[in-house]
Order: sequence, then structure tokens, then C-alpha cells
Amino acid sequence: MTMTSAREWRLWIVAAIAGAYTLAWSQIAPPSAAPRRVTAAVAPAPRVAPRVAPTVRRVPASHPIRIRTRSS
Amino acid sequence: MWTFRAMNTEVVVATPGLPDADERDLAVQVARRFAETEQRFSRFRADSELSALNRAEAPIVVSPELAELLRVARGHVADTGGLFEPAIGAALSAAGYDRSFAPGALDRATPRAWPRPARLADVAIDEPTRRVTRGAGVQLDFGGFLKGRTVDQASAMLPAPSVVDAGGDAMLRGGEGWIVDVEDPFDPAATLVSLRVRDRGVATSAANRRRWRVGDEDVHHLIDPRTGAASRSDLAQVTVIAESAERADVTAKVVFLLGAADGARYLEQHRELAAVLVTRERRVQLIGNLEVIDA
Repeated sequence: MTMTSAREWRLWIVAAIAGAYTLAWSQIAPPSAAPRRVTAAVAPAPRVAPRVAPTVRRVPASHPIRIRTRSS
Repeated sequence: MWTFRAMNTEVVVATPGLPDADERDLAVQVARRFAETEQRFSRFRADSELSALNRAEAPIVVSPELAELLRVARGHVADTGGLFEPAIGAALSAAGYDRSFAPGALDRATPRAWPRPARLADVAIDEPTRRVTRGAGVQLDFGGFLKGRTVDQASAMLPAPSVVDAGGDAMLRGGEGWIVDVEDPFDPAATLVSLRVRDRGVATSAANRRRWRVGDEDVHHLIDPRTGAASRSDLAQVTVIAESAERADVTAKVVFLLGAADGARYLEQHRELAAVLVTRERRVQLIGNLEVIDA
């Protein structure tokens, strides 16, 4: 191995370490200048009633129709 | 006229003048709307979106429908000086109302500790993103307000004349007027007064039906947000006629909490409303523009 190639190897190693360090740091902390983003969880999609026809019953109507109001 | 069960009550739908098959089809659509609303917003269903929000320890993004409901509820809180308050779910649970009501089902031997009063104002809503942060201790319960709102939405699905009645929360549209019998809170089989109502919503609040026992004490579901405990109002029942069933329901509750004297003053400041007040001493007071046909 010549002196030149040894220096190139050292440069490659330094560059590789610096690259790995930068990559690892980017995974655990955002750049200090950028605000930290907090991602809100999305509420689970509510299950809606199945699209089958609900059961309705016919009841006799008075004439005129009367309703009764009360606490319910 | 058609009926179905939803929101723990019997719902009636009628569109006189339509052929039977068309009236039935509309009743099915209304029943579906009620079922979907209950599925999404019931406090008693673990898989509802409201329950997900009530459990959330961190901000969550809610549906457009829940964001809209929160926005409308905030308006009622502001309009009523905080007497309408949907963040009282924890107080209702502490009082024993922790499951869908049935006579005797909520009775218990010992009371639970009352929670710190909570406010809808403790719920932060970021409107553009619909990101909601629930304050500590806040448990939302939309109760009768949601029922009234659903009645109004169902009514808008029907041609006039029509009626949608969800156990006393009703919207009555068109025709020559509908007859509304106001129940006597001291004798549920009797009618206190009959009114003719057209293009208005109706709702009634009373402490006589949703009652249960905690030890030796009678408890009911009308929580006063000023104290965080069941109201000790001098009113037995309030029926309100308003431009919508939603507003009628909200106002009936507010007037009940205010009591007879302050409730009457509140109604006199809102001339668009009419009401029938019944005190615990059985005194009946008619307020506002009411067409009484039988008393």
C-alpha cells in the first residue's frame, strides 16, 4: 500500500463515519431550527350501522295526529 | 305512521298524505339516520367515536361530524352562560348513570366520589385539522341535545306535513297544526295541557323518569354544571316550544336548572320561545305564545 492510497483509505473511513453519524442523528432528532412535529392519533373510524333496512313497525295514527311530550 | 326503537326510546315518524309504501321507505331512512348517529355518538357504546374521544389520553383527529357537533355544542354553552354543559359525563357516571337507562338498572348501595366539575371549554379543538385535545376529567355526553338534533335532521329528510317524535323530543311541520299532549309529571297517565303546534320543535325535561337509588337517596340525570351534582330545582317539569327540537331540548334543560323564577325570566328574555313550567308544588305556568286547546 502506497502513502497516497493509505490517505485515501483514511479519508474514506472518516467520510463513512461522518455519513453514518449524520444518518443516525437524523433518525433520532430533527434539525434544531425546525419545530418538532407532534402527530395526532386519528380516531378509529367509527363503525356505522350495517346498511340493512332497520326494522320499522306500523302503528295506527289518530286524526288529527297527537304526540305526547315528556321527559325521555 | 311508523315507529322504531333508537336512543333508548320509541321514535315515531308520520308523513300524512304520502302513500303507505313511500311513508315506510322514509321511516326506514330516518331509522337508519338514528342508528348511525347513535353508533357514532353514544357514550354507552365502547366502539363509538365519542367513546374513543372520552378515552383519548393524547390529541386525536375527529370526524367532520364530531367536529361539527362540538362546534354547535360550544355555541349552546355560550348562549346559555354555561348552563348547557355536555362535559358532565363523569358526573353522570359518578351519580350512577354509567350505562343505558332502565328502571332499577342503575341502583347501587354506595355513592361514588363526585368528580371535579368539567367544562367543554377544557376541550381544545384545532378547527383546520379537527385535532381535539380532551382536558383532564372531561367526559362528553351529548344526551338530549343530540336526540333533538337528530330529530331535526330527520325532519329535514321528510316532506311536510310530517312529524318526527323521539319520546317527547319532536319536530312538527306543516299541515293545520299538530296536537301535543304535555304529560303530567305527577301522573304519567294524565295529560296536563294540550297544545296546537305547527312548524316548531318540542322537548320536555323532568326528573321524574330517569331516577334511581344510591343508598337511601333518590338521584336523577339532570346534572347542574354549577355544582356538578344532580339539580335541586324547584321545577318538576319544563316543556319548551322552539324553532327546532335541538333548541327546545337545550332550553328545557336550562330552564329546569334555573328553577321557576329565574327560568321564567330567562324565557321572557327570549320571546321566540314558549314553555309550560310545572313546579314541585304542582303549580303550572304557561309562558309565551302558546295555542292551548285543552287544559
